[in-house]
Amino acid sequence: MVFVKAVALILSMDKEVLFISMTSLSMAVTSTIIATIPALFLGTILSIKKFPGKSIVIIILNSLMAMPTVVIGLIIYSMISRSGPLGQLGLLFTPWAIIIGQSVLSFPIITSLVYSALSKVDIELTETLDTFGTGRFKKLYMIFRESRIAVLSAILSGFGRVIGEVGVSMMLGGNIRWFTRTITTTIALETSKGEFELALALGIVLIFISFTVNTLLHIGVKSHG
Amino acid sequence: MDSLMIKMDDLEYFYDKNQALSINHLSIKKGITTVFLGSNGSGKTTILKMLSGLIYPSRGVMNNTSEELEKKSVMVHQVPYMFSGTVKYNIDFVLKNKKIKKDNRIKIINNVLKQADLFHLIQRKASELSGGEKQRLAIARAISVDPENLILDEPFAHIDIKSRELIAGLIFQRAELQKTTILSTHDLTSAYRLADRIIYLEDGKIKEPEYNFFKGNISHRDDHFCSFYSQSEKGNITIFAPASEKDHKAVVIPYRDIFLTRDKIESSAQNQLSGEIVLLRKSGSQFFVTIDCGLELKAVITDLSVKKFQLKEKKKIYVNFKASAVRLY
Repeated sequence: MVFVKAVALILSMDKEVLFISMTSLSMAVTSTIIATIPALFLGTILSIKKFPGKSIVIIILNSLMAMPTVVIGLIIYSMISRSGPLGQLGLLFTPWAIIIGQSVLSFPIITSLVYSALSKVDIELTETLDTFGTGRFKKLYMIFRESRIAVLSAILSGFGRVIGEVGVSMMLGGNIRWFTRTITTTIALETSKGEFELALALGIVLIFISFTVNTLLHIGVKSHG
Repeated sequence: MDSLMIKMDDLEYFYDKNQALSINHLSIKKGITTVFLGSNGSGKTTILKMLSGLIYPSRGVMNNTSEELEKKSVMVHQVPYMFSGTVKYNIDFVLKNKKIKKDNRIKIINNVLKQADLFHLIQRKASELSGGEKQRLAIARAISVDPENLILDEPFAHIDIKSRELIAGLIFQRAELQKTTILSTHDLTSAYRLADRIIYLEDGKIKEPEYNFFKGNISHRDDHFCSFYSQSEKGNITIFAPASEKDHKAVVIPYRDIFLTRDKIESSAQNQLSGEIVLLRKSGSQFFVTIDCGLELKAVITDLSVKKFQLKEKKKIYVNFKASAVRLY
């Protein structure tokens, strides 16, 4: 019965379901894009350059991948809260606070996986590009082109991490209705209240988003080559 | 103009701390097909990468820098990398790299794909090609930019007969145009048929050859023998070899199957040639003797034989070997 009501909520395009879903999606997409740009840069540097302390950077990144979301939420909270160094910006309990937190959350994941993807590039690829006199930037473009599925997977892993997290959104967004309420914070709230219809409806939406993302990746893999 | 593609002295290459290559001296002429022959792990790939400028020597001297070699050479790997995309894209990319205009690119692509018998697969994804087709595409891609030096690492490994013949044909075409091709293989037949010169590698070092190797054509054949007419800088000579119906391009005679006599003798050996010793070189307990018989033949004999026959340079001698000792390729 609860399931039927949940499906009905989705099919009726319930305003709140729609708003929460769009809020979650837009914040996850924005934070993933923000994290991806420096992550691609750092991942590439790590894979092609040798520099002192490189292994330490990799260890830190790998450790940050497993960082609990509430710890990241806590650190950023201490920075953007009224008494924190960035308190004057008034970011706390706004969508931007969530976006910052989610960007920090996904950055090490994307960086680490991009580094891993680019490190696995065949030596034959780089040597083939060298033997044909490929310029530095074109070579980099080709390495990304040939590793695009692995790089895309890295980015989608970052997206998957933020779309499903609850700690950062709850601590930094405050779960404010019609403002910073996301799918996961709503599910947590509604479940605690014993009202499962909305929670289940949003759960279905979350599964649908995850399924869509993976399907797109699968199509990408199939057309690769 | 320098006639040498490369000249290297006291060259060494280390992978981490392991010595992969140690070459006292090596020079390779331009305009010929040179084959590196050796077993797995003998250093063939390492030296080819060095000749392509893809890796730098750890020590030693070369007449060309690695950067110069990289500009002049294109190397095709044993397992060639195919860019994701179509057969056409794979060639188009490297031509674009060379800033060749679109009209010319189309002509070149069509031409090299026809040569490699891949034109019918022009729109096929490169990843969907068979091993032999991929190797042919990789060579077509390399030939498309018309490199000064074409370097092929084991081009005949794991491919079918059709691909083998097509690739051999592409190498012959370059040879006819007197373009430099260097390849590695452990396939003796391909090596002897294609090579103008063979360099033997073992444990990262150049190994003393154990075979006389000449290029030429069969000029006569009957039920018992075929005679092999060889042209060289030193002159022309006919060598009797076992009867064969095939078209052969090279003859190989092991040093150890040659025996030397002071005088012409009656024997079952069909090949008896007179000549003059031009070089006598000691190596361990044996001597390598080079005899000019119109072309230079080498034999390996013991120091006892050298003493017995009082062999020395410029001495006249007869070179004898059986037709059955002659291997045709």
